[in-house]
Order: sequence, then structure tokens, then C-alpha cells
Amino acid sequence: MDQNLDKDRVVVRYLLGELSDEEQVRLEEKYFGDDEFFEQVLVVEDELIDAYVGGELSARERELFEKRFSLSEKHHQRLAFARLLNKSQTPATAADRTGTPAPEPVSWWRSGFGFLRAQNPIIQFAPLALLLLIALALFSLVRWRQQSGPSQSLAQQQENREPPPANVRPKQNSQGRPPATLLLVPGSVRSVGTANTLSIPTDAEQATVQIILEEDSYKLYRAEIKRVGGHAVPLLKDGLVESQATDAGERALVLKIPAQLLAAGDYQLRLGGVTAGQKTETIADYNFRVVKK
Amino acid sequence: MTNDTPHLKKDWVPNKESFDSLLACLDEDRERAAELYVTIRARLVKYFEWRGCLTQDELADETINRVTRKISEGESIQNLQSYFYGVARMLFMETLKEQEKQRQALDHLSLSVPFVEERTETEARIVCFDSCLGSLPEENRRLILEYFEGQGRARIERRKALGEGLKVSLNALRIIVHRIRNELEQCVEKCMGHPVGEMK
Repeated sequence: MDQNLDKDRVVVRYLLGELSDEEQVRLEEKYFGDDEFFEQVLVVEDELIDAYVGGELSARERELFEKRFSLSEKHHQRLAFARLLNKSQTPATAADRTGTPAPEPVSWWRSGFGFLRAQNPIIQFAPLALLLLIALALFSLVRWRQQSGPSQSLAQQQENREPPPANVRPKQNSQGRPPATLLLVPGSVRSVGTANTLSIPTDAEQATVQIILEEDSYKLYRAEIKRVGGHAVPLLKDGLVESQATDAGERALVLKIPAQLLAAGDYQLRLGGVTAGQKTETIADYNFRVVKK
Repeated sequence: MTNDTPHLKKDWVPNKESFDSLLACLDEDRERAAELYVTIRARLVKYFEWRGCLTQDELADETINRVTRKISEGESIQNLQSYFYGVARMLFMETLKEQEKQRQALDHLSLSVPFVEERTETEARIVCFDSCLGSLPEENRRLILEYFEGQGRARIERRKALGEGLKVSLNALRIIVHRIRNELEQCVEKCMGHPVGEMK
């Protein structure tokens, strides 16, 4: 155990760039030829990252860590992951070291895990039974609304809407396009009942929404996607996107969205143009349906 | 990222034959050779990363190209893994000055990274994190959540108890958790649409 600790200390010094050149070479030669030792270095690296996000490093170590790792995008991602992991069971630590309020850390998994550890089987399964009852009631309500009021359907709602502005109008997915892609193009007036359907295969990692622009009047655009009656879908770069040229020479906006962020259901996309004064002018609203298959 | 890569003398690119000779050198069994190739590449990527390089993937590939070239030219190599390390080290020294210039340039640029991007990334990451956590086998999910529960002394004690419960040493527990964490982390990055590298 003590030997392990000593080794770990050397690895920490290596990762912080504190070893002499000779020591570095010795350690590198070792991990290149020794699988177990290489994995040990990876373990220590994880723990160093945890210590950093947990504020457990000394001022000097912190400085060395930041000097070594702060510029790489990959490390930013790793730090973000470590923050989540280290907060996964500790709502008390929800505010991070920078004072930024942490996003809601108690998800159903994390709170659910606490429930499942309860000793009393009645307490253990009561919340689950309650959830099932609520789900059943919601399902019945949706079924009833579908059967008794077809005018409530998304297709009908959309047909009654004002047509979107001429510059950007939705169009059906073109055939032959890769799955999990929704194409919105100008110049077509269609019923959007079934046209604006984004079919996402269950194994897809990413969905793409492509909006073809008739007029490219802004340097920057902002897209917002909201689930109907629900929350906004977090978009990379806050939905800010620049237009780009398509193969056909048109101007288009491309939104890449992790597939797991889009559950099956109905969504609204609001497209705006960002003015020189940093204000967003609404260009168009679209409705679309996400189907998982 | 490609534009940021230090200038490398790429006057040689491997073809199928040269790549086959590399695999043959790694192992007679092609499947095993492919596994070894992935392991070596991952190790090279980490080497360049730990040395503070910003274009670790490209440097790892260039190292492999150089070794492949030597093999296809008939050079006899006794210890291939050690040889890979030697070439990687040479390449690191070769690009050291340019790496430093890049770091300085990026250091300057990183000041202007908008906060809003970070916030949105965080929201997306939480959704992905929960989803990936949910996709772990129950046993692994329980273990990793227990491992990271609590803080300070309480966390240390919890980990000791966990190890005792599983009848493994603390070091073995660290490795088990590292593997689960790695799987979880790769799942999250994949969900976020980031490229995912092997970590073998």
C-alpha cells in the first residue's frame, strides 16, 4: 500500500510536470511497456482531476495543473465530467468553487438511488408505485384526448397556423437523406402534419436540423428548440449558429443535437437573426415531431 | 484542430502493404495485432497529452507513420513498444517550439471564450450524464455512485468499506471504478457529440 502511495506521488508529479527529464523518461518507458502501470497512471490522473475540481490541491499544484491542462478542449470536457461525477451524490456541494450556481444536480437516477437503498420494502417501492400510477393516468388522458378531439392533433394545429415567412419554410425530409436529419427549406407550402418529422433511430448519436435560407441577412442566427408544453432543449453555443454554404450553393444553418436530448414528442423551433446590436429578431417558428424508431 | 498542428514533415504516407507489415510486426494473429495497434495508439495519445501537446491525436498518428515507414524499409526492431516510445519522444522534441507558440496563442484566445457556451454545454452534459448513468449495469451504477458519495474523510471511509464489502483491495477498487468511469465518460462525450478516444 505504501509502495502504491509512493508510486502515485511520483505519477502526480509527472502529470504536473514536476519530474526531471530523466525521471520522466524512466516513467514513460515503464508505462509504454507495462499495461498495469499504464492503467495505474490513468487512475491517478482521474484522481488528480477529482482533487482539482474538489479544491483539494495546494495553490502550487493548482497552478501547475492549470498550466498543464487548461488549454486543451479535451481537458475542459474531462473537468466538466468530473464536476458532475463528484457532485452526483452530494447536493450540499451544488455550488462549485467559482461560485457559479450548479445546475440542478438531483436527477431521478440520483434521487432514485437513495430511495432504492431504503431498508423498508414498503417505503422502497411506494414512490415507484406512485410513479406508475401517474404514468398510467397520463397515458389514459392522452389516449382520451386523441380519440375524442382530433382537432387537437399537431397536424391540425399546424394547418390552422399562419404560413411561415416566405424566406424560410419547412419542407418534408428529402428522400435519401441520412436518418435523423430534418430539412427545412424555403419556397414550399405544405401541410406540415407529417412533413416535419424527425425520425431518430434508437442507436443514433446525433440528430441534425438543417434550415435552408432564402435570404442570408444576418451574420449570426439563434435557434431555440422547446418541447411543446415542456422544457427548452439545450443547444450547443446557446443555439447561436452561422450560415454556411451547401453543396448546391445555398446558404443554410445546421444544428447538431445529441440524439439523447430529443425524446419522442412535439417540438417548436424558433429561428431568429442576431442584429448588430446583439438583439434577436424572430424570423420564423416551426413545429416538428420527433419519432424514435 | 488540424490547422493548429505543428508543421510535420509528411513526405511519406503508409499504404496497405506497409500497414500490413506493421500489423505483422505487432503479432502474427491479425486480430491480436489490431488490438495491440489500438492500445499503442491510445498510449501515444496519452503520452503527448501528458506532455502538454494540444494535437495529441495527430502526433500519435505521425509517430505510427514513422514507425511503419521504418518497418517497411526493412529495419529490424527488437522491442516495438519501446521503439514507438523512442520515436514519439523524438517527435515531441521536434515539435516542442511550435507547441509552445501554439500554447501562447491559445492562452491569449482562451480569454474570449463566451460564458454562455459553457452554460449550455453544462445543461446538455447533465442530460447526457444522467442518461449514460442510467444505461450502466445496475451493479456498476451503484458502485460508482457509492464511490463518489460524501466528501473528505467520510468519502475515504466509505471507499474503504466498499472495498471490504467487495473483498478487494483499495487499489483494485480504484481500478474497477476507473474502468466504469471511463465507460461512463466515453458515453457522455459520445452523447455530447464529441470525438471519443480509446483509453486503453
